[in-house]
Amino acid sequence: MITVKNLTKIYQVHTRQKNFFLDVFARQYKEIHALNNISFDIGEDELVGFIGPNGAGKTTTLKILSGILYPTSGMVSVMNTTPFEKNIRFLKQIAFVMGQRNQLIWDLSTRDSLQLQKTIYEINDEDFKKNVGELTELLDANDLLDKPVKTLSLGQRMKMELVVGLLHRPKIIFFDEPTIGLDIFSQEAIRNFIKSYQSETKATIILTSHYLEDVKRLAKRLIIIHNGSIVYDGSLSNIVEQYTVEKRVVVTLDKMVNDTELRGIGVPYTLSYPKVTFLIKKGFLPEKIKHITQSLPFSDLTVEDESIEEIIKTFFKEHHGSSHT
Amino acid sequence: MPTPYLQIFKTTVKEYSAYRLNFVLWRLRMFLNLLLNFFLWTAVFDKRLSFGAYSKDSMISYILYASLISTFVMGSRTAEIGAFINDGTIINILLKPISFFKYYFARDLTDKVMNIVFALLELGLVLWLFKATIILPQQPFLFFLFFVNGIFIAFFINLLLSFIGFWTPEIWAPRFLFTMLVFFISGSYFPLNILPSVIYHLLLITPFPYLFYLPTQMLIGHVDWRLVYLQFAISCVWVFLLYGVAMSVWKRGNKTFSFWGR
Ligand SMILES: Nc1ncnc2c1ncn2[C@@H]1O[C@H](COP(=O)(O)OP(=O)(O)OP(=O)(O)O)[C@@H](O)[C@H]1O
Ligand SMILES: [Mg+2]
Repeated sequence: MITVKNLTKIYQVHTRQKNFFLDVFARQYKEIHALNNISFDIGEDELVGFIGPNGAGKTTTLKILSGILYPTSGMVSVMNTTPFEKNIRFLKQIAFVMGQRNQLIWDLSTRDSLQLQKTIYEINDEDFKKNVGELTELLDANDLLDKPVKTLSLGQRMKMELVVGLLHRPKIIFFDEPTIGLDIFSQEAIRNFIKSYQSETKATIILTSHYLEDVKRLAKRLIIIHNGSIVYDGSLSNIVEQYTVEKRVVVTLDKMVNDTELRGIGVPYTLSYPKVTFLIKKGFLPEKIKHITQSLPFSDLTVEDESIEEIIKTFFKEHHGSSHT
Repeated sequence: MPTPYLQIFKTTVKEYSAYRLNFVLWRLRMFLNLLLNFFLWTAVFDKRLSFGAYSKDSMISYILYASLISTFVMGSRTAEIGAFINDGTIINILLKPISFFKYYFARDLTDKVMNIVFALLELGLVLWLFKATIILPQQPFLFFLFFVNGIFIAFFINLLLSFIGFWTPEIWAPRFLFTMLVFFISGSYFPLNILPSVIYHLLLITPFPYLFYLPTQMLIGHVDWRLVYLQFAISCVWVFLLYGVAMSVWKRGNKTFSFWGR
């Protein structure tokens, strides 16, 4: 579906000069290396999470895959075509949904944008009705279609963005931070939407997000990019397994116990009776649990993974001495 | 029109209606412009019967028809493209499975049609209020040929002016320059052939007289039969030349531009 080999993108940033004619005829440039020699393959109906710190090169990659940007060097093939050629057959099968930019017609209603989309993508009446129905149902957004786009809230607009952007049932979708700026309920709604859309249509999806929960909930495979290079490409569960330092053990106590008894196990991470939480290094888990079951009166005990944020932080610390996600 | 273009047309009309007042004020300005020019030439002909090769009727006909034809030929939405390039909105159109040039041509047609409807009403108003007499349209075939070429010449120049946005955010200066040139050497206020002959013939090499001056001349029957074939040939050359340049600048722009943001 998607093949990228030794892809490099260097932005030529034009440095402004004093006057228009120098600007046009004697331009000066600064080079920004956004992608350095990255390669990956994505198969049919995969959903890949694409993460990395700000400025890592995620959006740049998606722009190249969708044909907006011309690569500096390397090979890019999407559905056996070169995206930059933007042939009509290719464009009809992809969608690029950006959380930060919208393609709806600002002054008109979503329905107007949908009508335009329908004729441009040559969707017949029957499919049109069916797709609009399904998309609005999944997003629970039927009543928003006739409102002028400029009157919608950010979350509502994102939903409409999805209805318009996916109307043509694309085979490949690039989601660039689709949940940015949304509240937890809208984030959840968009996430669920992407999940059911994917299981229904078997579309190939690349998703970027700084809310790692999105990635954790949706993607089996993870690609991490940092300073324009891919630093991890593999399954999500692998990285969780590999970079989990500690697990979170939550014990619901039966009755009050005194401090020394708790400290016998470890310093509690949080304690609000009846719940007490310990962070326990992975290697010591069996031993500690044994200890807990023997020494504490409890009615419930759960072992939770570290948050995905912590895991990615650990990953970056170990690999790059840098701690941001 | 095939459906996508018809839909682009309809959608653009709706967008206009969101800014009705803007549009009405714009028409008002054009109408006052026309009145001013009309009064000016009426005053000139108060004291004389002819001006160069023009009688009062043919001069008044020229300026009235020229205003109508320029409304259609110059009507355009392309000025927004420069801004779309700079704020990245253009990505939305790039990703649509449709030709960018055709998409914008359909949008331009909307602007042209909206404006011409009003311009016709305004013309009717002038004729009725001031009892102006105007020559009935002549040479419809020649008019049509020059008119179509004029539309394309204007379209490709307009596109080129917007594509400057790929290289600099200062897109307004060149467009302003163009508008000024159209003002003075395209024949909005007077027919170009009242200029000294040398200047007039030099102008005929540029694209400006082909926008609406020559179509108007055909319409009022002022055909220079010695030159008309050459004129038509030159206008065709401009159409193809500008198309070629616009296309290659578009391609280059797409390749080199970095499409800002996020
Ligand atoms: N149009 C552009 N012109 C010049 N440099 C750019 C352009 N777009 C991005 N860059 C630079 O390229 C690098 C990669 O940017 P990119 O937008 O791909 O990052 P990202 O991973 O999407 O970051 P974020 O998480 O902040 O969205 C950054 O250093 C950025 O400053
Ligand atoms: Mg980004």
